[in-house]
Amino acid sequence: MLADLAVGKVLSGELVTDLSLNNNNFAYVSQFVDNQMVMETPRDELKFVLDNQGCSQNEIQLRITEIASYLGIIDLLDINEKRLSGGQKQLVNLASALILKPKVLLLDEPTSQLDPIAAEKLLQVVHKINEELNVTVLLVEHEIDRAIRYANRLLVMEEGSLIEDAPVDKGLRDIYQNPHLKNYLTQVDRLILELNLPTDQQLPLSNKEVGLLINQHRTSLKSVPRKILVDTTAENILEIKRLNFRFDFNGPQIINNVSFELKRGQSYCVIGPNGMGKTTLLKTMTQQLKPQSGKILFAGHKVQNDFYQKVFVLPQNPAILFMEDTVAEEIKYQLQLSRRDTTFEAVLEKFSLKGLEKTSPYDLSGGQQEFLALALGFIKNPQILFLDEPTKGLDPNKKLELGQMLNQFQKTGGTVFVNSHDLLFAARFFDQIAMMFDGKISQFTTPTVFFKDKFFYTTEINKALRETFPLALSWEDIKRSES
Amino acid sequence: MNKLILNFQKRTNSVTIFVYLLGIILIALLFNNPIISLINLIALIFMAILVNREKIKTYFKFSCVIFIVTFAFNLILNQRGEDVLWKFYSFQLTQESLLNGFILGISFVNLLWAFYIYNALIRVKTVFELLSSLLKNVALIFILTIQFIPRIIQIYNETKSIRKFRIQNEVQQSKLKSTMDLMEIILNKAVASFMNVSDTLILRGFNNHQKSIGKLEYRGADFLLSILMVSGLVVDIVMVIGKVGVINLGSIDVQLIFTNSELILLLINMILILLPVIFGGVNYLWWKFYISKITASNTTTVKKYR
Repeated sequence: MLADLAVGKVLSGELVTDLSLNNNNFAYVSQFVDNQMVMETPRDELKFVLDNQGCSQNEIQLRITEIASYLGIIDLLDINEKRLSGGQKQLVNLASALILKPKVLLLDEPTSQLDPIAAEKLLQVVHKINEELNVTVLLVEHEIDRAIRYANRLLVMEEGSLIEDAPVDKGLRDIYQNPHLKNYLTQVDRLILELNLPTDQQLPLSNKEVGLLINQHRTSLKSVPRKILVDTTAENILEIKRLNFRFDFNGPQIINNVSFELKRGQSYCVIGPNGMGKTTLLKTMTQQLKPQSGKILFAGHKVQNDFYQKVFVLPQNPAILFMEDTVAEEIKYQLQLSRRDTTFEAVLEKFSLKGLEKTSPYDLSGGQQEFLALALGFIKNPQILFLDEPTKGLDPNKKLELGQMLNQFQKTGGTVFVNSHDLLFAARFFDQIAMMFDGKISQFTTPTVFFKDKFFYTTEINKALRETFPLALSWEDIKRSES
Repeated sequence: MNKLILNFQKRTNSVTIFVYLLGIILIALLFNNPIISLINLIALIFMAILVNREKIKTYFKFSCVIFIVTFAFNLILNQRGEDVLWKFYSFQLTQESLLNGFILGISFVNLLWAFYIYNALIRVKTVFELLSSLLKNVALIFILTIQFIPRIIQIYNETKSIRKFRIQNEVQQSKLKSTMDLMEIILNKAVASFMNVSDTLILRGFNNHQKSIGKLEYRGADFLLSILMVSGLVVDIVMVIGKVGVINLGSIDVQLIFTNSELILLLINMILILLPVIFGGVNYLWWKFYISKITASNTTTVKKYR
């Protein structure tokens, strides 16, 4: 079954298993949340899977009842697929995979398109399946923060080779020794390992354990929060005044009387769960959607046609931006349009696209597509860079590179506006953060001010150390006192 | 979707829904008597409003445009007739060509509205259950098409709005070239999305299924509605063979005829088109009656007379 999904051939080696390789033993859930449902409702989808196995009506009824009760999706069974959230769709996909009672569950970045809360819920369900049903779970991820707590074994792949296969504690300690993989560690584990604090506990550590450990050594530690210079005198590049938007006449107010300004040379990040209007806000600000009321001023003037030349939008799905057949053609096309003095080779180098010149942009991985789209944006050199969930599909190293590139862009006078549910990314790389919920946006404030009084919606380091170092947001914010 | 229609959709199986949809398409196709067509159109629009209100305005505008275009083209192409209403050089407008244009326009629009209802009521499951045992490949194409078309529209809209941020104003291209380029991009993107759907079908075991699938459960309502629809359609076909409800479209002597037979035909068609509402309505009334029988009311008046 899975072999049918892969393009290419196995050159050598073989799969050794006592199980026969079919849908009844192996189930697979992919990262593409939206393309995994064929039917209109979860009930039809589950029935479709069982129908294909030739199950009787009685068996179909029993199995759907069983799986829907177990995963808590009874209420979703008759809801149209279009009305399901990403998290709910992924639960249905999981149900479709589990309904054939597999022995092995293969998950390919199942949470990459979900917000933190939905991702956490999904992983808890996967953990329950693993613990209660004794189903073997193999989860492929580029970000191990959440999943590592539930894992027994850690395997690391690099350039096609398996470079680590060990129990989680050993695996995490090993990857700390590898400079290229250090960033994959959870923030709290990284903090303890960086500070070299003695502990008998096995990795990964919980926030509570780290909080206690830091408290024991607080006298030898100090908090060094990131310094942010907010230039209040900078010119307003974009002004949003009493913006309102809804999709239907009597529908919910997706953007509800929102007002704020973006200043030249500053970076802004809007955080919040999925479905709260972040993308709609970005689309309205960039004239992709027409607001019902409100005013948008670009550099003090009403938005005109040249607006599209002066800003760049990187949508949630970067593939929407691509227009050519190969990576090289995409870059050359943008270089030609933007008449920049940057060379083609320099772009390839900077955005880690070397060796991919002849590849179709659609065949790139999620992270590579994101970087190609970003390269097109930087080549254009706009006044404002709008990015919608740019960290989706990026590994921790790539996130770091992205953050550094955005900071570099800011230094040249560019303004950055980003939607993200990645709290750590927001805390580390942005000057101003606001939260969007139910169409309303909070006031933009610096990350330390924004996160210091948050209880649930904050970074893991802040949760763990709020009693001792309330301004610390990432592992880099705590250092050893020099005395 | 209206609650009566939803009731019809929930209480009937795929075959019944399919027979109904086939029926309204046939009704829209078979008759061209302007009075019957006009009444059919009203019934179809009424049903369309009930089945899917969301896109009704856009579709209404679209069907008006189609009507006007069909009407205008027919006036230009078919200038036959003796009652000349207006003459401009070699172009003449006759009463017959007006009537022909109107009939053709209405017939076309009727068909569009029948497909609107079809689109709103049909579910992938319905087609799959009906076709996959016999015509697996047709079912596959259908599933992919149903997934494909809305996705192409979505990709088209997204690409069009995002493209503006990449292309500079000064790049001058002919409109045709620009549209061709856009189409190529959209198809490239759609194919990638298409491959994901195909992967999902493999994961769901569609390529492996051996046994007959999509076993349907028939209830009394299914038999009753199917019999009603089929009988109505048989009557319709007999009437068409007998030239009832059909006029000589395109001819010089196109005439409006409306006898008792047309009236009966009109009533049958109305009932057939509105069958889901009637079925839902009867069920709703029955439900109210049933509830009144089994529920003890606690209002003061009822308590007093209990």
